[in-house]
Amino acid sequence: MVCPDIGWVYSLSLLSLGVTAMVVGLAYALGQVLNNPQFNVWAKTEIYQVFVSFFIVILVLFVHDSFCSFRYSDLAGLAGGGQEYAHPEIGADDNMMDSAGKYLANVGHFIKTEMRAARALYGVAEEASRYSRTPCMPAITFCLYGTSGYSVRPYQGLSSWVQVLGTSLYTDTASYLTVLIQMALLAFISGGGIMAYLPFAIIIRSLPMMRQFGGGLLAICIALFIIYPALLVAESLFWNPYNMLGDAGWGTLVDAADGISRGFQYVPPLEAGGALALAMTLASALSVVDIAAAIGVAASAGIVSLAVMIHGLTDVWTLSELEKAVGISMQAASISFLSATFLFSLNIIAIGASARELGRLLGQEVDLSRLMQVI
Amino acid sequence: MRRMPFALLALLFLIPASFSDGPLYMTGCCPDEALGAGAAPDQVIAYASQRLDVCNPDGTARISCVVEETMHGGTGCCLPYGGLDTDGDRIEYARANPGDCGTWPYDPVITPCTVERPGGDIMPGSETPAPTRTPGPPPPDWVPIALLAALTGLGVLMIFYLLSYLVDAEHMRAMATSEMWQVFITAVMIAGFVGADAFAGEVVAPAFGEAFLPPGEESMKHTEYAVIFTEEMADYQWGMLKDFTNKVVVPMGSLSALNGNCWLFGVAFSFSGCSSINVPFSSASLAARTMSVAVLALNSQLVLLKVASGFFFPVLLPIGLFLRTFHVTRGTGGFLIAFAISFYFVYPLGVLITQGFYDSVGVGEPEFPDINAVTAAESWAVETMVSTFDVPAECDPFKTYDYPETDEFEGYGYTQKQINRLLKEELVDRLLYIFMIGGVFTPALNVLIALSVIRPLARVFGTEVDVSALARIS
Repeated sequence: MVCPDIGWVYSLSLLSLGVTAMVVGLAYALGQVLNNPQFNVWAKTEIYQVFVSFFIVILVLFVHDSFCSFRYSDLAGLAGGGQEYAHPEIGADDNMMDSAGKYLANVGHFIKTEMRAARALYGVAEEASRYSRTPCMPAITFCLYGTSGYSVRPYQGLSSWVQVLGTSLYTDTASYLTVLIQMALLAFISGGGIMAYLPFAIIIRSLPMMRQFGGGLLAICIALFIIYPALLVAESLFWNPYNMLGDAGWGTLVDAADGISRGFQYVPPLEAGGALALAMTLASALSVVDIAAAIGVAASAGIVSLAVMIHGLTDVWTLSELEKAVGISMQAASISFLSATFLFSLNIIAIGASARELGRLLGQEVDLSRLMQVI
Repeated sequence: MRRMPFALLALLFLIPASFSDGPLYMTGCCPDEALGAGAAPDQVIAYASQRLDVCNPDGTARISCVVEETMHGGTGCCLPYGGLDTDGDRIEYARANPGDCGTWPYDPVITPCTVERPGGDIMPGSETPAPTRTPGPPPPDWVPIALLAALTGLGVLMIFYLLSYLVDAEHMRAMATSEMWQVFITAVMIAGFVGADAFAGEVVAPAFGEAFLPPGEESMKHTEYAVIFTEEMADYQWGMLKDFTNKVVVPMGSLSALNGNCWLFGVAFSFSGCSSINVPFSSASLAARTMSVAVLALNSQLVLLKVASGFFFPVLLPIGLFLRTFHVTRGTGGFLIAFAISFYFVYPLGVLITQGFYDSVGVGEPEFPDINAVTAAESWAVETMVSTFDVPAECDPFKTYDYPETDEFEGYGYTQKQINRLLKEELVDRLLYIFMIGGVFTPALNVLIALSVIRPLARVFGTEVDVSALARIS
């Protein structure tokens, strides 16, 4: 987020001032020629308002330039230390625009990590819920006559977690889109394009019956260009979603987000080990029948799942780990919603209220006649 | 949990002080009921039926607390390094015997039990209930910021006043003079807010939650009480949700998925005698999803409380006080003040009051049924080699008719049995109250109360702003 070069706005504002002053001057001259006092009164009023508009615009541009000069470390000092961010890091020398952008990036990173975690856990729960075991019965037939017996999906109930995580994912998606919208809005604002309305407002504010509209334009520019970034910086100084979740919770969330390829511990180690040990015990006898019995027992115990599990013994989800991660994910989903949607709504309300108040103020005649006389 | 005796709670806070003479890297998470009244360090403990997670933030100490009625079978709370079981026999727990602690049959996770002092000594520590959440940095003090805002407003007005002499503008002088009264009113407001903050923290909040005062603390802010209440409630509901999932939804799903196959020389039959259990299973699954919404709502309430104390009051209130000093921005300032007051005072106090209403109804612990379902840990050992098609569960897919049972559900089939379990009032009524009232209704009520106060307060302080958008989000 680089502070834009708004020198052209200064130039355009001067041009607007000149053009408007010329128009007012022409109206005054016309009033004199036609001996129409209304033209004269209007011209005398508007010449002051033109300079007032110009002064307001210069003030807005000056405040914006100062945003590019204030350092985040200075503001953090006022706020008792501020917050630490790492995704990306908000440097001590970052100006207000950069700080606001990086704050949004941090919130976006948080939400995206939560989305990835919810997606990974969704997959694990879905996969676990579909796990099915079909032992041959009776096992002594060694499935020679087909897979007769019963099949079971012992974790089918985890499909409820799938629904829960689906709800989290839905909330996270809305939150993430909100953050992206905010980042786009901030980029649009900091790009400086909106400043083009300012010189326009100088002219419009002095046209007949257009003062309120011109004042409204000024108010919108002030609210978006100054108040919105200031609100974001203020939030960054006092609110950190990572601190809400805590280091342990964040670590769990990151592990879950990176664990999309991890499997699930379908057969607990002890049970699988016990079955294998039993099979080996049976196989210690040398007769063919005994060996066949060992194979049958091992097959009944789920030797395939055992092999799969041994392959991923150290990197599979257990049920308790999955539950804990789901709990952390739900906390993160709430934090994401508050950080992105609620605070954004608050910002919009504040901007709207400010724009309305400022519009009322700027849409009226500013009476600084004495000051203008001195100048 | 809600009816735990406060004396017991106070006692368990005394236990670490009674025999520990140094800080413990303790992250135990045993529930309060895990400690019996008068429990000494080597005494065994009564347990509550609640499972908690392992807490291990820094790796130097760990307590696993999975709790059930007995140490033998099921789950047990791991006493750190020694204790007595219910029969008075010595039980040794340590890093050397991790197998003594565990949870079965659903998840035989072995978790070691160790408690270490900072110096590395192993000692029988106490199961001081430590928070399962990271406390986070304390909220900034709002008073200096508010005073700074008021002084800044005064400074600006003084500049205007001096400028009025420079430009000889009488009306400017009059404006500055009249606005200085607003600075005085702002100072009075700050004094009022300080008093209200103290009143809320010292008088109102302790009336609701004095027993939750952490050890060593003499007082807490009302927002901290509300945060603790909400954290406890959220953790409690999360535990209930996990129990409901592990004890009802998962086994019921397993039962409903039982399928029988019979294959003989190319002729095959498939039996789905238990498929009708999908009816109660889908209801249970939907109930779990609804419970998760309640947990999300409570977590959101928790976050909002922390945002209110950490951002709204320290930031929005001073900005509002500053803006209110000037006539042209009085409306905006009034709105910000109203918003900050509403979420700093009204919202936490609302949380405490509605929690009191919730606690006043004596709802017991939900009684989860014991569903005999086939699990992944089922041992299909030698005896099944020659057995018939016996299914080790309370539903047999090969029996495609809904046969009557002879137990307490006499006259009902296996599907109706599950339905009756799900609808048992000791389960469903209590869960409904815990989640729908405690988790959905009260958080929504708290937010609506806070938002409804903003409008009249904003009128008092100078403007009227439409906050219906926020109400719709809530």
